[in-house]
Amino acid sequence: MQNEVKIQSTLPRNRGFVSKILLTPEVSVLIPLLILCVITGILQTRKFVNLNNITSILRYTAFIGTLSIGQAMVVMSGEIDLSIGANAGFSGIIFGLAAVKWGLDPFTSILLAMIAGGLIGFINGYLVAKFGLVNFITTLATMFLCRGLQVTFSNGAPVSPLPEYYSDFAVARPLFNLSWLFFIMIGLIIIMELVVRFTTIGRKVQAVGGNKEAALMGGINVMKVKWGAYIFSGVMAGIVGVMWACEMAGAFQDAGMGAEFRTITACAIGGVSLAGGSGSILGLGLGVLLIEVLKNCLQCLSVESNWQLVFIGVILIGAVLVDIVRKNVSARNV
Amino acid sequence: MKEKIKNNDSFFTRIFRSAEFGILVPLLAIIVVTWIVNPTFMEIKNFTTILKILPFVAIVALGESFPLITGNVDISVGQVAGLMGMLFPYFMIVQGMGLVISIVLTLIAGCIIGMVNGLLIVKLGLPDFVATIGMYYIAYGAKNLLTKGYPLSPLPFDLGKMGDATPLWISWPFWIAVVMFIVVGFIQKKTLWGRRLYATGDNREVAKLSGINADRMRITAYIICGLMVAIAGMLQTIDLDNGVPQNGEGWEFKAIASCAVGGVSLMGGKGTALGVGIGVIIMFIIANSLIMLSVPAALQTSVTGVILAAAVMFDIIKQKRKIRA
Repeated sequence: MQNEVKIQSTLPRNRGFVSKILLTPEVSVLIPLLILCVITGILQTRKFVNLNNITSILRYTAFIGTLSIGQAMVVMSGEIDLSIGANAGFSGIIFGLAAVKWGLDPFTSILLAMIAGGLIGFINGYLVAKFGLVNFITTLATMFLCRGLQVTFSNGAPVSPLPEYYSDFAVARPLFNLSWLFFIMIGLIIIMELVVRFTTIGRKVQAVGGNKEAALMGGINVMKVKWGAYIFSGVMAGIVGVMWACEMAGAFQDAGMGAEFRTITACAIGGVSLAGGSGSILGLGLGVLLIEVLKNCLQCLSVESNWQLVFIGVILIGAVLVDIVRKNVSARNV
Repeated sequence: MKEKIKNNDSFFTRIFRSAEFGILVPLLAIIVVTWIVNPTFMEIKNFTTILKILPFVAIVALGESFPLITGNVDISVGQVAGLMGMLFPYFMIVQGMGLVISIVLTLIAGCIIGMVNGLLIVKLGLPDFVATIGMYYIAYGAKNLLTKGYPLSPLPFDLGKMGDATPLWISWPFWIAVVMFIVVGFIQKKTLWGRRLYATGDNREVAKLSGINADRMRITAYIICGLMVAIAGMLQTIDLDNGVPQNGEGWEFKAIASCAVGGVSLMGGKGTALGVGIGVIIMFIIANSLIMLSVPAALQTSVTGVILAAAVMFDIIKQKRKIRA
């Protein structure tokens, strides 16, 4: 009898549909998102619920969204990348120089930016994964490095104007008043969500982040996985550098300031565990959306802009708390 | 056992193996090169200037070293310092409170913020990064909301004069920082509490098994950090004779970098007040010597990054050699 009881308790309990949905990771983002939208929608219907406003929110997510995908892969592998914002700024400048000063064609310029970003990621990966430096300090150091190089290469002034076809590309609205940049982000999110969910690479990254020792014993090359995650995040930073430059029709010497915190915030809100090992890219996308919607809602309600920061802080802590509670509940019930 | 082995080494070996040695060599090299290129670097006036501008970040770094020693990190220190630097004149000018009450209230506010950080991380299990970034945003917004972004000046009670005073050639904030470093160094080295602090950071489980209340130690570390950050914020405001909302921006990275350069391990369990002090001095002297060498301002940030990475790498190499020896 005793045995039977034990077996039963380890089996997944037959839950109702509602509680199953409530326990998926994305819900802790979706609920505050919906609440925000409904409240603002009722109070400021004309300002908030119109196509222009909604699409402008969505367009805005393209940059931090793409950057956060890179951060998320590093975070999932159990590390952190503080250099990501500065790296994006630095590769943006490289792209600007290639396109404006050296007169290279778009393909080579963009490739150069991605290589520059990837190189910084490579250095991060080398120092952290191979050499064993603390991730925080290493990426802080490369952040300083990139910031300096960014201003040095740009001579402290924006590199502009970019050839017109770049800004034409950024201004183009192929569908529903949304930009190409937004669709690039959506594409990347879908691809990476599939990679994380269904491929061995995704499994490996999560295994390494979840339990390094176990992953090592399971025959995973932990060093390579972490190194790869850093290079990936560097390449993402390169892409975002190009995106920013296109959007603003020039590479700016202060692009990417503070973006490292915003990406980490998006990860944490989107349910990518900062301890490593788990997370969904879809949730991350919703996390980025939540931050932008929050900002927009507060603007629509004409709340002073500094309250945005306070609310972001509170929502960040709140979202992660909800996530912890959710995990506890699902661990208890399963 | 360890002490005995150390004592058998010669004087020079001991100096070479001390935690602070790794960073002193590049520092000396930089000083000599700068001196040769630009002799004004070695003038006393230049050094007193450096010592006048560094106590604020130094005190923040000293506070930051407490969570770091217990194995946690605090990202919010810079913005909280800025908030405290606004709260202090806010109490005095806008609320019209007395000097002592304002100081006490600001210190209490700093402690409360530290305690909230600590409780979120230790009791509720939030990752330290998330909780303190949350606090970073909250403090960032709050300090601007307090006066809608306007600075608060001039300070009452002749505090401006205190900021301008030059006791013993330097400044009051500097001497206050020196006293704080000595007190903290003494507490860390000589008291049971200090030993427990290191034990908590070194290995939490072992610390718990040997009867240390590790949770309480970690929360206390955050409270001390908040307290020191409040002191740094107030001193910066007094020094400027002006509560500026922009104060404290970027201090979190400066403080953490100084700690890392000064040999505080981000894994916890290691680091001394002396090391933090040396780390801060190195960061400021390097920044100064780069100006003296007329390195372009933009490259200075890069060089800071390289030095940070080099210092930490040197430390790791040295440790590996130590283990082999």
